[in-house]
Amino acid sequence: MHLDDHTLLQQFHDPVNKERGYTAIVKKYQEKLYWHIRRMVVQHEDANDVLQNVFIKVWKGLENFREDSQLYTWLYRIATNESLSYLDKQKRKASVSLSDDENGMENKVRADQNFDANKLEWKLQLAIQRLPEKQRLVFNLRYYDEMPYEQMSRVLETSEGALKASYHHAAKKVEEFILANA
Amino acid sequence: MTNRIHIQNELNTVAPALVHAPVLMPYTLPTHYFSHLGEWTEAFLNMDKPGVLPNLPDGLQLPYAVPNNYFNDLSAWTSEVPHIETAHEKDLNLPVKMEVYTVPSGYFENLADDIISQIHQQENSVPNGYFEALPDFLLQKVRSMEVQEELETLAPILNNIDKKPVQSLPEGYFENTKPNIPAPAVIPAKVVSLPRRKSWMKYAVAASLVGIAGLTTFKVFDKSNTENPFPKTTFEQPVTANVDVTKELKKLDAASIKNYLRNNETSSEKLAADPNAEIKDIQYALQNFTDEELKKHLEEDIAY
Repeated sequence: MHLDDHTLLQQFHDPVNKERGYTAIVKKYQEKLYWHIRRMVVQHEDANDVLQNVFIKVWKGLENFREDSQLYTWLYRIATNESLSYLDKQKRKASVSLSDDENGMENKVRADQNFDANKLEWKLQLAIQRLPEKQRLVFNLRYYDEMPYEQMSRVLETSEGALKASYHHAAKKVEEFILANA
Repeated sequence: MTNRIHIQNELNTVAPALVHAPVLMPYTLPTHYFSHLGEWTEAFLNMDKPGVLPNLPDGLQLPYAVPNNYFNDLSAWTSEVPHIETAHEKDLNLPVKMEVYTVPSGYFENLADDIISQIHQQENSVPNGYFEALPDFLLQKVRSMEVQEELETLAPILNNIDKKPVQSLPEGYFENTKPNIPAPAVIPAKVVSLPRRKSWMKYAVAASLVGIAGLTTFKVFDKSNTENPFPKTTFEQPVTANVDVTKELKKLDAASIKNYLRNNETSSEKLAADPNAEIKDIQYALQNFTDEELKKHLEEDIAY
C-alpha cells in the first residue's frame, strides 16, 4: 500500500529520509508513467530511456515542488514533455516527415514480439499510432488513464474544450480503423 | 474352453505354479443361497420393524442368524463405552477412572456457536489501509464510469476492448528497476588567489639588509677607518652609503645568510617548505572571513 503524496513529499524534504521518499514516489508512479510513455514511444527500450530521464528530472525538480498542483499532474507533465521531446529527436535524427513517422510507429507496433494482427487489442494499438501526436496523447490519457479533462488541461496546458474535441475526433478515427480492419 | 486354454498358457509363462493350483473356492455358502437370494432380499426390503423379519415363505430360512433384539439394543450399546477392566486392574482394586481435567460449564453446548461467531468475525474484518485507500478508489471508479459513458455515444466498440497492456515487457521490470539517484553536483570551490610575490626580490632585499647591517657594523667597529660613517646631511642631499653591496655580500658566508633568512620566513617561503601550508591558510581564510574582508586583505597585501 503506497503512502499519500503529501507524506511522500514530506519524507523527500527531510534530509535524512530524502532517498527513501524519492524511492517511494518512484515505486508508486513508475508503472503508470511507464505505460503512458510506452504508448507514445512504443518500444520498451525507448520507454525505459525516457522514464529514466523523467525520474532524474523529478529528483532535481522535487526540491522546488510546492504542491500547487497535484504531484500526479506534475509527474505526468514531465513524462509527456519528455516523450514528445524524445519523439522529436528521433524524427530529426531520421529526418522523416510526419506521415512517414506515423508509418514508422506502426512498424514498431508490428515489431513487438507479442503482436497479433488478428487481435482486437493490437488493432487498437495500430489505430492509435495512426493518430497525430497530440491527439494520440489526449486519447491515451482519456481512454487508458481515464484522466478528467480538467486535470488533462493542466498536464497538456490546453483548454478543456479543445481536449474534448480532440478526444472525440480521435475516438471516432480509432473506431473507424478497427471496423474497417475487422 | 478355448478361453481357459489361453488363460492357462498365459499363466504358464507368468506363474507356472498357479497352473496346477486348485481352482475351487475354499469358502462355503449356505445351502441354496443363490436359489433363495431374491426371496431373502425381498423379505429384508419389506421389513416393517427393524430387526423383525416378516414371515418368510415355507422352507426358507435366513442364511445367517442375528441375536434377538440386536438392532433394538444397538443404539443403546453404542451410546456407552464400556470400560474393559484389565486383569491387573482387577487385582489392584482401583476406583472407577475419572477425567482429571475440568471443563467450564456449558463449554460443549456453546462450542459450536462460538466457532461460528469467530468465523463471521474473520469474514467481516476490514483489510489494512482500506479506509485510507477508499476515497481514491471511489474517485477512480467514478472517472472510469464517466469515460465508459462517453465512449458509449462516441465509439461503443472501444468499450468492449480489454485495456490490459498487450505490449511485451521484460520479466520483473518494475520489481528490479532501482531509482537512479543522480550524484550530487560538485560546486567548484571559490578560489581566492593570493598575489604571487616575486620570490627573488625577497632574497635580494634580505641580502641587501644583511649587507648593510654587516657593513655598518664593520664601519662602526673598524678603528682603522677614521672616516665618519654618518656624514652630516641636509635635506637637499640624499643619504647614500658609500658602499659596494655586491662586494660586501661576497664577504658574508652562506651560513649567515641562511640563518638570517630562516628567522625571517615569509608565506611564500613557507609554501616552498610545506606545499599544503597555503591550502590550509586559504581554507582557514574561506571559513572564517567574509568576501569583503578577504578582498580588503588582498588590497592591503598588494599595497604592501
